[in-house]
Amino acid sequence: MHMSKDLLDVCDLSVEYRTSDGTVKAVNGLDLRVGTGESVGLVGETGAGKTTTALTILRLLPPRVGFVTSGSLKFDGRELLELSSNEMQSIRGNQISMVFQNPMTSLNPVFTVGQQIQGVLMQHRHLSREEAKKKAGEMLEVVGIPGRRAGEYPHQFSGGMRQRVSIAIALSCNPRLLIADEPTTALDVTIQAQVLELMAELKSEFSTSLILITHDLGVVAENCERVAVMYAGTIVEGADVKDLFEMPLHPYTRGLFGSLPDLESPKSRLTPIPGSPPDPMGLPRGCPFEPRCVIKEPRCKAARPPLMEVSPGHTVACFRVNHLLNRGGVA
Amino acid sequence: METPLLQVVDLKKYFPVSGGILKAVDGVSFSITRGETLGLVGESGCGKSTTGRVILDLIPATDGRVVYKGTDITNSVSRTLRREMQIIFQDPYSSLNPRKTVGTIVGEALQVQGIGKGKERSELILETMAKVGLSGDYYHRFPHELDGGRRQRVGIARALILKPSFVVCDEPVSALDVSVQAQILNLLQDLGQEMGITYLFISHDLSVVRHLSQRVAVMYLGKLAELAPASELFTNPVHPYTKALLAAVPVPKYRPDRKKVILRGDVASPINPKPGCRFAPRCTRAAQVCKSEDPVLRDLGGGHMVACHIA
Ligand SMILES: Nc1ncnc2c1ncn2[C@@H]1O[C@H](COP(=O)(O)OP(=O)(O)OP(=O)(O)O)[C@@H](O)[C@H]1O
Ligand SMILES: Nc1ncnc2c1ncn2[C@@H]1O[C@H](COP(=O)(O)OP(=O)(O)O)[C@@H](O)[C@H]1O
Ligand SMILES: [Mg+2]
Ligand SMILES: [Mg+2]
Repeated sequence: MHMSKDLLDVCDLSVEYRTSDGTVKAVNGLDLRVGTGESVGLVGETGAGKTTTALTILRLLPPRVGFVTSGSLKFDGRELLELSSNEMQSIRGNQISMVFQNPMTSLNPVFTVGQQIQGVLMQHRHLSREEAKKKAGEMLEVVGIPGRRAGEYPHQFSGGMRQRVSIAIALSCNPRLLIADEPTTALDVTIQAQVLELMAELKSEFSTSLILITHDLGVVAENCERVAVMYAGTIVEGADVKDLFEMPLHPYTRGLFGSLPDLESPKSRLTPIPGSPPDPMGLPRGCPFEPRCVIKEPRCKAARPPLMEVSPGHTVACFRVNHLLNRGGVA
Repeated sequence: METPLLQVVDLKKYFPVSGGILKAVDGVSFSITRGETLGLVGESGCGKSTTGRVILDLIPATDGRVVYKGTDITNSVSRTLRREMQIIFQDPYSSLNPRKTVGTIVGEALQVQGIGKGKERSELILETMAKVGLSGDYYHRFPHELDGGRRQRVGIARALILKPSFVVCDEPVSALDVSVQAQILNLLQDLGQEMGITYLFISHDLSVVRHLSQRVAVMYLGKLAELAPASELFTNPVHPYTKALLAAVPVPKYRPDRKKVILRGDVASPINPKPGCRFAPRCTRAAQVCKSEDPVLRDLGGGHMVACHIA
């Protein structure tokens, strides 16, 4: 069925947050695979469960609130969910690292950027203080910041520079998998272009696998090889970028394309998706997109459609997939 | 030619800050004709919101003039004029008072202006809510009980209840997800046409701006770099900054051969800016003159204006 060369294999993952207000079903039976050296874009709207997925892979869910209720997370063949916290600690940073949306949350305001990179290198790569210091300067240069600025604090840098520092930290241990959670969402487009270019260069240089989490389909189209579209905690469609952008199938994916204004050939009117995403505290029993779907049938309310492969590498979770295929994939 | 609804002439807004003077808006001029939507784009901190706020007299101008329907209204928007000039904010989370109900928020302007009372007022509120697609059920709800899209509808209803002729939209969809964003863009477009509203549409999202605007102004560090009819600006950009900005926008299409021109460096500080073109430090084509003289906005013909020494 699937080959073992996948670096990460997430299977039927479900995660919930148990809060005083009730249970939030943030991730619901999610399947996701990332091959060695591959870059996968995880796209979805606010609340789709993207960050929760990332935190679960790193085993960083908030204790006593976030719970994995089903599934497995295999990294290089090892089940991450079964590792002790010490074993996980050595994987985090060493083998898997993460870049967050807001670099200020991952950078420590009271240490210089040089000290922070140095710290990671000493802890994970067991370099001496002197070696780590030298290497920290080099890492800054790699992300386009003069090494002499290693003695400055995060607040002395612009947003784009801070994000480049977090990337330097995340990559300084040469991880096999980098999870970047909306790394450029807070940045202006010209700065976003710099950061994405940097990630692409480093990725090819170190052959790191990448999960790029974003809500921006443009960012995915230009920076990923594969795409997984997430809705209400589950993957509704997965494909190579070419297939997804040229033949989107799931009604939600198509709805997203209809909603987007076109920079190059303006539409006279947009075609929005009616309604809003479901409340994660009261998810429908059937297809989570059913309430907003324009091609729904009675059975869509009754059961959840599984992710089915409709052509090599192209998977869709929709009971009406044959109808979609017959109509051709033009959004 | 018809007199423009709004004229902005050499508008300036300086803020005294600890390091000196922050020139948020530094000599901006444009006009908007009746019924038109003018888009204002640019990167964070370039002065878009400040421009919008000074025009509406929410903050005073340092220098320059704002002329509305032929009358100078700089720093003197009266209460009656306020009815005609409104603003829709970016953040539907922080711009609505959390302690007031939706009905009260939408009807606030009626209260301030002393328009209608009792039943008459609540009917007008319900009518406006219906217009923006909010069911009357939300009248007694609080903003935090609504999702982002509905909250933004509340912000729109609040701005439109007095049937304004001019509305500044300051990033009205930036906090929304695409599927909901499209609903709000269609709503703004429909209401604009139906009510004959003239919009100044501020956004950092170029696709959104192109979609809604007839003309577009590009701002960089407090100054206009380029202003042109939308189709002209997007197909034939002249200013090196506009070109770089357009090239940097990720396009949601499979285009493996798309060439990226990546702009180096960061936007300079608006505090005590150096003389010369504000974009010169990042411009690959900058010449000597660019570092010493401020380029002025000049007309290339057909309403295509650019402020660049070399373009
Ligand atoms: N009250 C103030 N005091 C001092 N500086 C201010 C004040 N308001 C705005 N500024 C500064 O003026 C400049 C322009 O700000 P403005 O909010 O107009 O930018 P913008 O283009 O709307 O940016 P964004 O896209 O981030 O909303 C910025 O450098 C900002 O920090
Ligand atoms: N710590 C938490 N406690 C309770 N609910 C949470 C927590 N973190 C996230 N959630 C909820 O889980 C769902 C998925 O959130 P998230 O993973 O952050 O989505 P995304 O990153 O796609 O925006 C949302 O409904 C969100 O409100
Ligand atoms: Mg998130
Ligand atoms: Mg602003």
